[in-house]
Amino acid sequence: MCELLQSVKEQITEIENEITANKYQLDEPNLIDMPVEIFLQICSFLDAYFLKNTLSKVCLRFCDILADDQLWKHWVQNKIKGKFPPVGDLKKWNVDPADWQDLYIAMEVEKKTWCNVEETMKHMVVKDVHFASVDAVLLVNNGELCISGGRDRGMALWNVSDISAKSETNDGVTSLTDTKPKHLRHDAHAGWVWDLAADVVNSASKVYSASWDNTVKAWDLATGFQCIQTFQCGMAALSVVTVGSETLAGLYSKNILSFDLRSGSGPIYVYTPHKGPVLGLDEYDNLIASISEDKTLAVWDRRAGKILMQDIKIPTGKAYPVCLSWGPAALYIGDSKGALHLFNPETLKFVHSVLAWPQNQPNNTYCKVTACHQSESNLILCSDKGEIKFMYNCYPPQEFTTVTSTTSEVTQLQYLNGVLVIGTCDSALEFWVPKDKFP
Amino acid sequence: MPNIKLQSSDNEVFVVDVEIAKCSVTIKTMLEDLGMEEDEEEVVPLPNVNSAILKKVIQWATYHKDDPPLPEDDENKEKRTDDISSWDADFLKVDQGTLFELILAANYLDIKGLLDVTCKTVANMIKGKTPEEIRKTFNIKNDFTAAEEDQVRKENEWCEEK
Amino acid sequence: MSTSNANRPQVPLRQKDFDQIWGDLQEGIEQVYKKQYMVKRRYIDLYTHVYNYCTSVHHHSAGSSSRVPQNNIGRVSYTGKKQTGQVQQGGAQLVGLELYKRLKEFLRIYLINLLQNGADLMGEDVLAFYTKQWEEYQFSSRVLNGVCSYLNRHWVKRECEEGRKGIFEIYQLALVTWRDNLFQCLNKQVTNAVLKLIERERNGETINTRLVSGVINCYVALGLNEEDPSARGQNLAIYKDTFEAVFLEDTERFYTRESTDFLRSNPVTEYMIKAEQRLQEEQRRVQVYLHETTTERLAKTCDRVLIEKHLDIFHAEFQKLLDGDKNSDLGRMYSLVARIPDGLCELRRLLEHHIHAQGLHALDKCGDTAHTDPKVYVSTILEVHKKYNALVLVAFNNDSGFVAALDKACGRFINSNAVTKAANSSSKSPELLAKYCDLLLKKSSKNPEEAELEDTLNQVMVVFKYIEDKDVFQKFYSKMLAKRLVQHMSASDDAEASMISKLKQACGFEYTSKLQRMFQDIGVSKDLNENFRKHMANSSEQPLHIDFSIQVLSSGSWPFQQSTSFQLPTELERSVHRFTTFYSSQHSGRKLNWLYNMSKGELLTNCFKNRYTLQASTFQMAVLLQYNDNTSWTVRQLEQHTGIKGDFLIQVLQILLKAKLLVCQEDEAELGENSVVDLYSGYKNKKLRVNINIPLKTELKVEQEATHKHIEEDRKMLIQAAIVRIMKTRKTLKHQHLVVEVLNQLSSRFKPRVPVIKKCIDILIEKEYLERTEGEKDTYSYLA
Repeated sequence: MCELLQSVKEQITEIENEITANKYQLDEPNLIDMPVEIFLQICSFLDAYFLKNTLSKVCLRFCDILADDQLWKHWVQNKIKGKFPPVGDLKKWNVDPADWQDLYIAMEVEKKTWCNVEETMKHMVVKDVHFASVDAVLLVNNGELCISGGRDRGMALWNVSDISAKSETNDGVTSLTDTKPKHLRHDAHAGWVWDLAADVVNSASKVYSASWDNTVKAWDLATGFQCIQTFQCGMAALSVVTVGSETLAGLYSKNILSFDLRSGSGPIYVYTPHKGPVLGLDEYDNLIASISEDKTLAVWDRRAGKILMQDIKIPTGKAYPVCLSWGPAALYIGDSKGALHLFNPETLKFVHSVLAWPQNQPNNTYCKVTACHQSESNLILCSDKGEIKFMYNCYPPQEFTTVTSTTSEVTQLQYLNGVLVIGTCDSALEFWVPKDKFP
Repeated sequence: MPNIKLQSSDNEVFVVDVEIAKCSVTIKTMLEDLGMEEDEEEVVPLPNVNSAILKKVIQWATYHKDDPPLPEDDENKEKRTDDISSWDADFLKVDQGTLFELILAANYLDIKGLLDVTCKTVANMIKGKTPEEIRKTFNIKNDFTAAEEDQVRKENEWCEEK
Repeated sequence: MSTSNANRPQVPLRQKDFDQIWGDLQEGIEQVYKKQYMVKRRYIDLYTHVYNYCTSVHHHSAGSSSRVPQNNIGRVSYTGKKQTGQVQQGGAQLVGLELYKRLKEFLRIYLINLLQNGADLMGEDVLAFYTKQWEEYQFSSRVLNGVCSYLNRHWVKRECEEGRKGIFEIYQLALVTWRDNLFQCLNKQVTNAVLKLIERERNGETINTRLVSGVINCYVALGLNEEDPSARGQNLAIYKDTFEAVFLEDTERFYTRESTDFLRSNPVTEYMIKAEQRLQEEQRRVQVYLHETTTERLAKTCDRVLIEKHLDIFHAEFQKLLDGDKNSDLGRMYSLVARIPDGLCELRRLLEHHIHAQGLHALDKCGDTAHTDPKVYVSTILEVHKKYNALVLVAFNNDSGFVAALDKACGRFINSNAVTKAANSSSKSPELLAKYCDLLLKKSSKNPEEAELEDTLNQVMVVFKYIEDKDVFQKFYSKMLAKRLVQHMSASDDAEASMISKLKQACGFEYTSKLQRMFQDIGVSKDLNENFRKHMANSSEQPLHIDFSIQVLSSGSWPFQQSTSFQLPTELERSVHRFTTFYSSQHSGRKLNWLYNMSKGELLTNCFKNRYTLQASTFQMAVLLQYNDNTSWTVRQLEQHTGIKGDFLIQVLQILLKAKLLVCQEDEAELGENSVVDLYSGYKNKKLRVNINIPLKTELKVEQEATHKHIEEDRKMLIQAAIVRIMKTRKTLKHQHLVVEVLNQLSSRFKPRVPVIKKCIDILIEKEYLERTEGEKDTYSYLA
């Protein structure tokens, strides 16, 4: 205590000395002695990223102001008109509260990037490698590698920087017809390749493909994209996800199988949480969520080795669920009539539905939500009408821009480290690559 | 047009058209609260603004007196700094001290347009600079301790690696 | 002390300095609340105090940037991991809380002191105190708000945006403080005093309404939306809860007592005047000193107590007023009862019943004249209609419900009354109406002036509107029109045309197409006669010695039937022949059929003492011309010579016998084939021009029967056409629905009877337009 007081006293003396020494400065106001509200108004004209990484490093006072979490929370809440986070009262938020600064920066960066997509992104359409609808795409290793699979039964492995290098420097879309993938497996499967998953997203060594030929195959990335195992499913495999050393496959029958490379080609266990085909899988915190044509959601607890919950109704009405995304903030399910259903990611209770794509007039056609990607701050949806929506991950999701692809139907979407890739029904892949990362 | 007498902190009196003076919400509110009689003789002192700055403020307000009211702040509208009119840009070609005094005066008198454009000007001076360059520009002392500096440096390295 | 920062040259404001600022500020604020005159210099001083406080006191009490090394490093290498659940006083905190707290406290103490002055006051005193203080407080608080606008603009705004509860703009804070300290303690007394004052005004005293409006304004202003202080629009919760609810209860009590007392000792008509006056007063009351949103609820309360509760008395009175033709009282009752939702139903029902009864009674009173005299019949109906139409228009504001009641009542008594019952047919009404039209339009000495005629025809249309069997009217009307045209009996072409256009307007083109054709035919015939005359004049052939004119009527449009057998007398044959030749030269391919029964001519007599001109029918002419050859014929001979069939000939002869042109030994009624009929050479008549062309009895009777029979046939055709039309669009339809649609479609013409519709459906099934849908009961499908 005494020491503290002493130090305070010293500081006061120091200040008073400085005041006398800097008499001139007193008369001439400077940036440093603007009131907080003025300083913040100046900041409002600067990028959040710059505020965090540059301005706050100028001096203690700036650092002090810009480190205020309340301030960033306030800015986040002023930015979005919805409820953030989308689901209130999550345990996770109490244990590990949001970093409002990072959230705000992520929101701002995403918005600036996608609202000015022509300036910030190279947009490339890769054609003439697959010769049928590309239904599965996967990004790994910080967006440097891309794997694709399609109805032509083939799979390809792409170096994103190779593709980026081919793009002309001018604006607009570059159409690439002569790009060779790093590896191409024409006969990867004997049926449509429907879904892909990697063992570890940012340092992947193996990739798994699910196919209508009743198999899931494992591919080694290190040894030239060789098939190293074929898991027999006995039924078309519609979805695949990895967790730990396990690979789970959702089948056209109502089963979900789990494989492990170390245990050969047979499943290590089987469970049946649905009454209809399993259309999608996603993993979060060692739990596996599955959606089915029976319009229910089920959750498997891998550690306990049992079904944790099942028969959770998805209020799709006449539609059926198509895609899901499970993150710490929310569990989203997109359906075949343009609706997005929000579930509490912890209790899996249904919260709300919103129509991401309203019914199209005048022919009353619906848009299918074909894929959904979420981060803590943002949400990306794509549809079978070729649109990609960029939103804030709040409730109701607040769209800040829509990017239109060159295709009429986006089949799947992957977003990793600023790289966006989609599969299209025109036998093509489309890439959006940030110019600053892939010059 | 009735006039109003504004007195700067150094006791210079400016006779200003009331409508122009009302650019300042502070003055406008005061007139509404206290009532405004014709040919007002009473001088309104502005103890926080000196004559040099008050003169500039009046110059700015006179030029902008017919501007449409500014729209409400919208957080989602991208804040631009490259939309300063050439008149304002010329007007703000002043030394830093004056610029910040103008900011303070605009804030004190509650003149939103002037506050906006001056803050933008400062933001433009900050933009794209390194911390060291910012310190230089605004004569700010680096008051981080060596240990803190070190921490900053390490963090930056980590950032760059990433 | 927190901001020990080398980069902050400004002296941080110490508590001492703040106290100094506050001291002067408080003095100033007290001055404001004492309503002392404030000079601008002082105002700006206070504003500057607030500004200086907010802009220069940095992190007054927060310890966020104290230079504890770890903390500092943690801050610089900020990673976003915060202490769980702890809201830190951050570096970007704005300054204001301390000042805000002191302002709040100042206001609280000011109001607590103020309350002591008013706590014991009652009645008008408390009102005077409350409204005066409120007005002044409001004004002072506005000034305070201006002085504190820098605090509002930054600190308060940020607090509110971050969702902090209980932080308001300073003016709002002043209101909240008033509400919590003064209003809470005084509102019962104040509200009671207001209600007492209002009651005194209701009892006829003059009150100081400014006392009331002052309180009301205060209650309205205190309705703050605390949940969302930025929300626009008023929240009237305080006004509604503390004042409006009690006020309405009070109102209800007051008027329940007053209305019951008044009705006990006054007639209903007097009460209605009173109620009307009270309603106006209450409406004005809201305008003068209450909040506008009360208008509706107050009106509803008054309506309920003053009107709805006494509806039974009103209903009983309504009948009396109708019987007594008390139109202005009826109007008053209407406007009162109209305020009650669905309140008018009973009045409408009573009115309909009354008009119906009046209509029946009026026709009853006419007795037999109404059966035979179309004029009496129609004008009796019109009188009833006119009277009640005027009533509905004036007293009942032409309210659509009452118009409907009038229409329904008129429809009912016009289509079914003593006259139609006597005739045993609802078609009697259209028939009489058509006859009335004929009376009006036929040439006669009593023809009215053109303007008057037009007016009368309009009135006819009023009755016409109510006629169910409009097709019957059409039949009779076209018959009589045909006669008027053919016999040149129309009083005015304009009137005829006008009437046709009225009917067209009412029933559509189809309804009048035949009438229009007839009208056209006559015009065309005029030209034709002219041309024929010219043709004859220029002709080299021997001129006709007979003045001969014809009318060519297009078949199908005219309700005439061709006559029975007949031999044209030789005297006429040449004329007919010449015309036929002429006509076919003009219009080849058209066939002319001669309607002898509709034709007539004039005969000049040379056989009597005087030279008479006889206006006769063609048949009469044929018979009389026989007597040029011989003065005595047997009936059989006449039959042979004229070609007129026996029965019919006898009727022709009977009229000639009656006219004393011919004589017979036998009784007129017993004429036989062998009876001998002689020319009566002693014929005498006062007039030299004699019309012997009297319609034959059988002709009339046959005609009427035929008309009715035609109507039935036509109706069947119309029904069938409607069914086909409906089924063509619907393809399949349930029986019940089909019947309803048919009734709908034809309602403008007549009211089809359901059995007839059924019969028509059967006919169409037989004709294979429709079939019964297999497997579905009572459903028909259309066969293309």
